[in-house]
Amino acid sequence: MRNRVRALREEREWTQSDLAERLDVSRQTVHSIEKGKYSPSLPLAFKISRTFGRPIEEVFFDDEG
Amino acid sequence: MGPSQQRSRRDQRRLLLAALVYVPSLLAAEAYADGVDAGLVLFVPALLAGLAMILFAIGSVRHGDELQRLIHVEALAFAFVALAVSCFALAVLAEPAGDALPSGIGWNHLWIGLSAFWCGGLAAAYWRHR
Repeated sequence: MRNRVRALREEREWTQSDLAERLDVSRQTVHSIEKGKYSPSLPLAFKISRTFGRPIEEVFFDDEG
Repeated sequence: MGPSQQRSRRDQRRLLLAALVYVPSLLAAEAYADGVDAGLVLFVPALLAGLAMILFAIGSVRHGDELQRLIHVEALAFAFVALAVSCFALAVLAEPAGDALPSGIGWNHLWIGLSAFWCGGLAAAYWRHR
């Protein structure tokens, strides 16, 4: 699963630590999600999209999509 | 750092403190309990510190985020499998090795082995997910 988390974060000039604090997760988790090494659970994916104020399908998308 | 992450870090610090109490109190109890009336009482601090370690370890994992919980699960799975393989290997080697193997391996060594494998598993899982 690919995502636009890094692009959306950088648009807002947030650091990984800023985003991690907003999501109440570790910076390592944000880093792994951005790198595509870890696919978040649905609740966390919805929380991320809410934090960016975007629908979830604009933040996360299937590799084949 | 969010509130859950702060609680997780706090429990990790408490786990370390409990371990710093557990190890010396266990070693002291083992050293002085023999030949002392009601020597088992000496093990009470180690028992309490051990229970605290279990509680803080659970708290640390429970307050971690989903990736941290996954890392702990992977580390624990590695630790149990590695410990089981080590025990079986030791059992198989015990007879042919004879006196070459150290005698007097007990429960404490199992805990030490499990802790060491858990730490190794944590390092490997953190590295894999970094």
